[in-house]
Amino acid sequence: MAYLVQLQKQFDDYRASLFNEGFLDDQFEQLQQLQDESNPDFVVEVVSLFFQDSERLLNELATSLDQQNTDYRKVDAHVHQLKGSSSSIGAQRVQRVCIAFRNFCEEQNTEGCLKCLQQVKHEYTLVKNKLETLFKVSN
Amino acid sequence: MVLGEEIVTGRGSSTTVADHIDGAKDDSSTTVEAEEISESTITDHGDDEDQKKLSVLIVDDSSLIRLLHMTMVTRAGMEAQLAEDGKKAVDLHRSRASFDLILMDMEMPVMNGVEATRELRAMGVETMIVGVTSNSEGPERQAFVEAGLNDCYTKPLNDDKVAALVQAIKETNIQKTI
Repeated sequence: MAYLVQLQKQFDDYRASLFNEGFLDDQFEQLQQLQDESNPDFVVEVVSLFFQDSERLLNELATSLDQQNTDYRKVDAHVHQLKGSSSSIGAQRVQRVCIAFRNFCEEQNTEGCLKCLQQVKHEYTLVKNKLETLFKVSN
Repeated sequence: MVLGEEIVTGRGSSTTVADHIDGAKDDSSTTVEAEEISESTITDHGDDEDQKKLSVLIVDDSSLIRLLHMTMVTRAGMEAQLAEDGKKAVDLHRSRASFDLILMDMEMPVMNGVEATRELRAMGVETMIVGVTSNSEGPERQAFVEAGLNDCYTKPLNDDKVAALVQAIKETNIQKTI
């Protein structure tokens, strides 16, 4: 029994750290509140969609920025989508990089965009790992 | 912005939410499925099982947002139908589908939310259309409102906003029957 209590505490502490370190914001709590007995896998479903969308968008961003004549409207559209989906699950740090990324798109600043692409990939990888760990611990 | 108060629709005059609600449904209308509802659709009967559920059309190119908003409105006791772009939303209405509420994304491929809203209003659709966009401010959001929205929220929705929308629609429907 003490072991279960300890496990629960580890889960709660880990979850709290994701919020304290800015990886997740209130929107993630909204998702958890939408999950119930009739919809027990809701959070995993939504987060899985976020992973799928993000990986597709990151690939498309890399391709678009690799073109000789970069179509910044296309790049901006992809970043806009990534910003939307990251804000929808509460992936706050990814969302923040997207905001800066869009500003560089507006300026058609290639160097800035490439830097943001690296940053957003980094933040996405971090939050993905954290969420996968959270789901493993919760099971 | 509080629904029910006077709002400026951008159609050149101030109107209330009630002016935009399409209260009387055409019994002969057929609903054309624009997208298969996922099997995870939840039917939440709520407290008023005998009352016909409010219907909402969720128009968004993001499958994540469609799932998220569908879950929220279903929990609020509404029935959701999905469309992945503005053209599908317009085509549904051309096929005589009607809804109590349309949640319209702004940026979508094929036909965006601004164009779709304009088209729906030009067709005479008076349903409450609420924009849902990641753009929190600026000329693009203003243009979206002026296309004929009743209100515009920043993504994502939350339970409070959905509850407020349900309440506004119910109050408007009650007013229409008086």
